[in-house]
Amino acid sequence: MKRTAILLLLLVCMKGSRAHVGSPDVAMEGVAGPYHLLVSIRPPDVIPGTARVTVYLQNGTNATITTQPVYYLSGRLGAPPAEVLQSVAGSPGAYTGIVWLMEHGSSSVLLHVKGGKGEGELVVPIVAISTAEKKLPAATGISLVILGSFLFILMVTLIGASVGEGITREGETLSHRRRRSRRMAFVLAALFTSLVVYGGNAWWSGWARKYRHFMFQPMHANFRIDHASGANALTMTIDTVNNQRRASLSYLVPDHGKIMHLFLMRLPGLDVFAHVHPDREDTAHFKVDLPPMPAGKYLAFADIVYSSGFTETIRDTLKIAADITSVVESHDADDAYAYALPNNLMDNPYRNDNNAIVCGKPGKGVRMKDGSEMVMEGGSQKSFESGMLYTLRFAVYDSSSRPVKLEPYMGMQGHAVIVKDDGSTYIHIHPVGTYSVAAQANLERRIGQPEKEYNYNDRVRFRDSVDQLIRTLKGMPAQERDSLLMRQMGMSPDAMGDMKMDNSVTFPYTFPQPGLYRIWVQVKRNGQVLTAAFDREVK
Amino acid sequence: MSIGLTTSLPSPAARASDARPGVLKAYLPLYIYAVSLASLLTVTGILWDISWHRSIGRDKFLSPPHILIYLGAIFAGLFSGIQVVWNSIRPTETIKASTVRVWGIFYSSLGALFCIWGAIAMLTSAPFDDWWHNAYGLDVTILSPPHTLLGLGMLFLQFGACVGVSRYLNTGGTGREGILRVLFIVSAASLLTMIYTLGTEFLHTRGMRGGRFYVVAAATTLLFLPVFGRALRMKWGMTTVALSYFFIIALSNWILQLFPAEPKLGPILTHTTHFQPANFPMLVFIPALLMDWIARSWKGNEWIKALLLSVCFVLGMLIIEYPLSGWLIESPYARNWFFGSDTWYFGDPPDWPYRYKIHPFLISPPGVLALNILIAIIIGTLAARVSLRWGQWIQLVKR
Repeated sequence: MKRTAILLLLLVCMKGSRAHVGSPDVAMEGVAGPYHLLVSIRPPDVIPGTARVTVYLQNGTNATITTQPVYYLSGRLGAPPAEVLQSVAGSPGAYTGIVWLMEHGSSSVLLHVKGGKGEGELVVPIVAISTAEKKLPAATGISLVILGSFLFILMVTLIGASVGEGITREGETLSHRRRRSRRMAFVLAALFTSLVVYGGNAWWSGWARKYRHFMFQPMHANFRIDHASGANALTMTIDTVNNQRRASLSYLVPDHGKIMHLFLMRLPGLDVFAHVHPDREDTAHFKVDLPPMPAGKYLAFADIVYSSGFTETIRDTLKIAADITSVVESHDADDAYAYALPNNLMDNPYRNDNNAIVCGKPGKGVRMKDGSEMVMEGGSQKSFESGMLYTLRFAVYDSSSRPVKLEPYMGMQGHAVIVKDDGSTYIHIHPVGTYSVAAQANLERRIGQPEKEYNYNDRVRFRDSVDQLIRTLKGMPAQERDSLLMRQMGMSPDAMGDMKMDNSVTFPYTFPQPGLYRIWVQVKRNGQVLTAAFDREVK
Repeated sequence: MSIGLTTSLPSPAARASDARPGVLKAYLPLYIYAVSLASLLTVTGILWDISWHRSIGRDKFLSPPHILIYLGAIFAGLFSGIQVVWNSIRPTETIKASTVRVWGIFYSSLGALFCIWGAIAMLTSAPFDDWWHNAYGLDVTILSPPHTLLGLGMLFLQFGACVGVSRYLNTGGTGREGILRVLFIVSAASLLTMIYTLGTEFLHTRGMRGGRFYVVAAATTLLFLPVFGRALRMKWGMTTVALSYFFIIALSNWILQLFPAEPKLGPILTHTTHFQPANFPMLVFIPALLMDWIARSWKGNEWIKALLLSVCFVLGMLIIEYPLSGWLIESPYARNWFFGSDTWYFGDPPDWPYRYKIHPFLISPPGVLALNILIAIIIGTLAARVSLRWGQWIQLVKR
């Protein structure tokens, strides 16, 4: 039975769509006291369900690691007892186990590590949502039909026997009257049983409808560009009519100091890329001035984080009717734009446009707009395998091939966006992993609180205070803002956790499925945001 | 092997002599012991499983309560199946004369057929339930389609045990009426417990001040108790079955709470340390005393008998359970191992304002209650009438 269940799980196609699009696994590189951990979590696609947690101990091989699912709503005191992860045979330092997630919403896996070096804890945010609608596998369906038919026939038989032979004295033959009753009973039993089957089927359909109703429904948005002002203002309106979480929109919190991270990529080749940060006009409206982008149809991915730690991406499309030519002084220094040329070109023909870059490929780096070059390390590795956890490593060198020192970009060593060529998979990741730093910070704060049930603040007051915070952050000099954001994340300005700011940036990630992926990497050097793009095949 | 049931039965002449002291009693086929035991195993498994979900929260396919439930199914299915196969391999004329012929090749007792249906339904529900959990989540609800199939299977198994035993009670002369009655009471009480458990959503203590409780209690109880009364042919048949139901629930409550159990699923709003018992059982045996007296004394029209049984049951329950439910929930004297009123689901907050108070939402206004009592009496009368007729049928079972 267990094997059947596992097979069923493997057969079901993953339809992940959550904080990121089509990339449900959580990868995290973090620190639990004296231990460096690489964590991989595969959340369930049906809630209630179980998440598979795998932890790789980077420094040491002998420790006891426990997990506890902690919900934002019920906090640490409302969490079930911690359970010990089992070490993986043949992989020293690797531990695995499952965590049960019973309710929809923002949750986390609290890891506790204890060993020779001491002990420590790490909170990994996860979002518990139902995303899969599963079909009955053929083998199970056929078995159920066979058994069901047998039960149907046996039911008719036994009801017939109940008014026939069953009440006839031993040795006596069925009287004519009883034979007639039996025939009648056969017909009535068949009718009644059919009715029960019909009713059961209707009940099942009702159950499936209810499940679909509570499944995660991605949000949608409408985009409008106003050229009239010459500012190329893009207004994004979140659809609040068909929206499961419209009441929660007041509880957005800034991630890396921004209320929203909007990524635009032109279809079909994903050749134009923009990372901008719209301002919130009200709960449903966001506004941003676009950089000079060429006309075309764009995929838009807007990342938001709620105060509960629930993260999600609003995925939609927008059309830019005509090239945006007017150069507008970007109101946000962290906004960035790039135009990626295919990597089969011999050289960059758009030398004059410093926003144009040639995509990197195995063994070939990307010359960025300030002349420095970003290289994807492990370049000889031509392709990756889906479902495997990798640490993607990038290094930046100046025109003389000397390592450069990177600056924090929105409080991080770098940001990356990984997108599949058909746009079906999208993720915005950081050196620490695939999760939102704001979500982790909020969950950590919640875990420290004693309440078993969380009471939300007044929504208007909450929204106003967040807007005030963002205004304050925006008014700060970049350096001061970065050091504040890093302090909030528990990092010193010179170091990202245990890593020094140098010329390299790493991202832990598990490619969810085979295909061709484009990896956009953004770093900051000399106050300028630099963008590079790499293409990689995943098998 | 004692499964060749018909060959073991004494001839009519011998039956007459069986009643005399000193004459060897006829032995009963092993399968009727097995199915009665299976009835009890399955219902005990269900009660344990529900407590498991309320106390620990999560389980695996092969959790101890599940093993008990499926063991019951396998036990009943296997014993009934072997009996059928045994009879069908070499069907003697005696076997043919005393069994039901199925599809022209099998020879089975009627009770075994019910049990086989029940066992197959229960086993079919296993892969169905497994898939259900994968598709719609690891649910904690009692009433889902696969659980209903499992419940139906259990009901058929338990009813099959009743029919199997009735056949011997009806033919008489086995000299083992005492054992047969015990076996019947065990199976019938298991069935009644199962019916009440499936209807928990409507029959819980907090609902006893609402009209719906009386409608559901009348419909379920009066559909089954009169059948059992008639089948048992005992002075206090219905009372005994109702009292046995009381003890199945009460004993499982008293025993379960002795064992430690810790919630393993978040969110945990109340930390509990032991298995949480179910509600204190309903005192159905009190109106059943009167019902037995009516059933015995009334010799007139069956419809009037059904009406009397219904009125007696519904008003009896109203007089007993309405005040008792308030006492059970509100009184500090009910918060002990005997009444188990301090039982609590770990997912609910411990300081819920209505933990020791009946929520006004659950209390029907007097007019609505009166109307529901009337509806309960009408539905109860219909159920009792069907049950009395059903009881006549069960008295006729001969094979």
